[in-house]
Amino acid sequence: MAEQAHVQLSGDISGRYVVTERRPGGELTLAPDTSWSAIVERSGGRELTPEESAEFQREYAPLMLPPDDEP
Amino acid sequence: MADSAARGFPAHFDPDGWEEDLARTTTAGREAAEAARRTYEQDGIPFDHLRRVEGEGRDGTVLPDCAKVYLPQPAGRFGMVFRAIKIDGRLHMAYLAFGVRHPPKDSRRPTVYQLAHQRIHGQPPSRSPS
Repeated sequence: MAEQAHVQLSGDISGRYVVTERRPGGELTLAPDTSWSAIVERSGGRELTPEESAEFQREYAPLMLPPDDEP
Repeated sequence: MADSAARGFPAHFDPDGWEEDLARTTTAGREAAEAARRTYEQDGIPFDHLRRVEGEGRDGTVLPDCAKVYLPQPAGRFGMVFRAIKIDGRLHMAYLAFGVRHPPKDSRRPTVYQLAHQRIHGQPPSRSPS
């Protein structure tokens, strides 16, 4: 599967989008970028550092239900 | 990091990922997802709704720092996957994907885990389910 091109819009519409179709004459069809990196950016937050990830697993994993036989 | 409420995590729902997922689900799926979102945004996601996800699943999915809920609770046929992030210094569970846990084999629809993997890694899992 070819990777979709990504664009960043600014103006009346802003944000990260992906190009879903390129038409003759240069017309583009766009859809919101729903990748994880775009989700994190829109949230105003950030991913966990490796140290925070280890702490997350250590502190909170025991409070949640255990893994089962599906992912 | 122990800044979460004693009984659960605050939730963050991305509007674009949410709309994309709900556009391809059924009426029952939409109802289950919307009910869960209302509850989780208002009260947080209780620890006892969240099930840990193996970092590397047997189906080839790689979902680090993720947890899932089954909908409707406690063991419905839909799943919602979250991933831990920090917002304003506080731990949140960010919405990553919603969909069916076990689509019919001939449907070619991805599982919710494959959707989540695709969002994180930009491509489908390299292995098929065993």
